[in-house]
Amino acid sequence: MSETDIQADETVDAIGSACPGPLMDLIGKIKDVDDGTVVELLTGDEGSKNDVPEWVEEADHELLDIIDDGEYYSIYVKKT
Amino acid sequence: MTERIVIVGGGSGGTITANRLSEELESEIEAGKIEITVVSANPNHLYKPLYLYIPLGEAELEDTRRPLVDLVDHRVTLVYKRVTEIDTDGKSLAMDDGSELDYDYLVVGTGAIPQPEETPGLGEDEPGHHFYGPDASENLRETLANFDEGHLVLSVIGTPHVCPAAPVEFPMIVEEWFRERGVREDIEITYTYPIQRLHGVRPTAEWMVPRFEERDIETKTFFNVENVEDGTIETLEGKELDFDLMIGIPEFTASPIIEEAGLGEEWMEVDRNTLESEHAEDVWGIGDVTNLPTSKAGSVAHYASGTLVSRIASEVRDQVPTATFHGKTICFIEAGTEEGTFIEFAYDREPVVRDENRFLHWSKLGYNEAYWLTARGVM
Amino acid sequence: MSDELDELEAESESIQEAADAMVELQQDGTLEDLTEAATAVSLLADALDDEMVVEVAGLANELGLVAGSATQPNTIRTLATMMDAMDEADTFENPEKVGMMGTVGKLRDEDVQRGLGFLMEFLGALGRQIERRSEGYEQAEN
Ligand SMILES: Cc1cc2nc3c(=O)[nH]c(=O)nc-3n(C[C@H](O)[C@H](O)[C@H](O)COP(=O)(O)OP(=O)(O)OC[C@H]3O[C@@H](n4cnc5c(N)ncnc54)[C@H](O)[C@@H]3O)c2cc1C
Repeated sequence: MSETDIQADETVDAIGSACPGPLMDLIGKIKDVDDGTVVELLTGDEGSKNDVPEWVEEADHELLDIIDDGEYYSIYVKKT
Repeated sequence: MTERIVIVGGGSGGTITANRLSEELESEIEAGKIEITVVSANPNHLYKPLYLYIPLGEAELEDTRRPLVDLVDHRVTLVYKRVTEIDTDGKSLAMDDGSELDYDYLVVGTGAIPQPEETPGLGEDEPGHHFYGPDASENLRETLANFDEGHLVLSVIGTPHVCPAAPVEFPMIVEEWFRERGVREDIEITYTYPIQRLHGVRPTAEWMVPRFEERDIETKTFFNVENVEDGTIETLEGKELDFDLMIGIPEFTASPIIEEAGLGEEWMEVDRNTLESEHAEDVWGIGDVTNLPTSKAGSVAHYASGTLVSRIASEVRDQVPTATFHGKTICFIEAGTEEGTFIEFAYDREPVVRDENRFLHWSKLGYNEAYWLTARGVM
Repeated sequence: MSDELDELEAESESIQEAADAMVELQQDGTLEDLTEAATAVSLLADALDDEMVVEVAGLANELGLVAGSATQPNTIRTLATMMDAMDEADTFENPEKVGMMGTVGKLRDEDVQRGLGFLMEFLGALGRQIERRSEGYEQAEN
């Protein structure tokens, strides 16, 4: 279990996702949800740790937390 | 008693599965134990990759389609109707003509439907073009034939987009095509992608960088198209880009019957190794309609059908199914009009992109001709 | 730093393995064969063009579709049986002329009856397949 208090409204499971990749899965979800929604991205891809924060900053959303669950990461993003 | 296997969809996934199943279950069909039915809204089978060549005048619409009856094994019953409802409790399908069809085993292969209208300004009678359908690709052919100066922008919008290679190939092919027509000097080409590199698949992105540079194709990343107006694209990130000709890789969606049947919220949710529905018994998914964490490509439907056929045959024979799918995907990538390469990957295995050459280009051309053998289950 | 060293080490290992493989191919004569065969590949590359590839692949496609149907086990057996029968029938040894009455007489022959039985089955199946195709083509036209 992840050690965080953040409650996600939506979860995107991108574990094992090779193409189009976890970030693309996340963007697809962010496009669909309303402002203020917290989306949790599950990914096993090391690159996502850098890719996601970079995009979140570029697109002006909010990165809440990145939790290392051992086998995968939970990345929490709030749409603003 | 005869058990009925029903396959919904006569596209790549449905057709290959039907043909391989009828081969695998030959003796059961002969003995009257099993009956296979394909229900398809489209009586023609489409080879969609050719849509990419229509705008360049290198393929005609008639090359993209063949009657389903020419490709599906004669032991399979063909029903030319649209499924409007799937009742997984009652194990029955409702059709657009009001009739019903019961099943014992169900395979869903309804594909991914392009949604250009999801992006304001993209689609028919709009400033933004695409090539994901017969009319759209023919419209683009006319526009391209008359385009000899200005700024062409190709924007990847959809996530995920059907076929990972098409947006990579198109700028390189059209660039060479403009050169052959002697108008390249008066045309600027820009490629845009939603994330910070040129492609979701990292090695593909790395392969693209020097090649796009060499060909003087401009690139923009972190570029999520929000709307297309006359002459300008606006993005989610607040950027703007002017264009004279805009081609978008649209968003895609699954048929609404999937969500209505409780088979998945966005795409049909299946186990990534067994292809069984996460939500219903005796239901499997094949091809673009599924949420498999790999590309939406014909090769995925092709390779997954092997696993599917083996598992369904085991169920029919009361054996324990053991075959599993591991995400094998192969896509050709044309690097212009004379050379090509390919990527091959699987779940948790990134591809290696080889340098392009003439033989791989010919392999792709050859495959475009001989694809029908894949649909037939021969190759 | 240590990453780079690891990479260097892995690279030199690959080079060594590749060289070993080359030496082996050279010693057993495979390399010479390969070099010779490569000239044929290069001839092919120079001779081929897009149109030739498309023509040949298109032909292979049509032949393949026919073969896909022709190689069903039952079809093969039926074809083989027919060919055996053709051989046995001695077509050119002046077959007797059979008229209306003769036909009735021949129908008493059990072998002819069996042959007719097959033909009737075949005609039924042919009718069904014609029906299936014409429906398919009609649908596909619209
Ligand atoms: C422009 C373009 C280029 C491409 N290039 C490549 C490429 O180079 N390489 C590659 O591997 N892939 C490529 N693809 C992707 C490839 O075409 C698809 O991945 C493949 O067709 C998926 O097969 P499918 O069976 O899942 O869906 P489809 O082939 O789309 O078939 C779906 C079928 O379901 C039927 N259907 C839908 N809803 C219903 C209903 N409610 N009732 C009854 N029937 C229904 C449809 O009529 C259709 O017959 C490309 C696609 C496009 C559009």
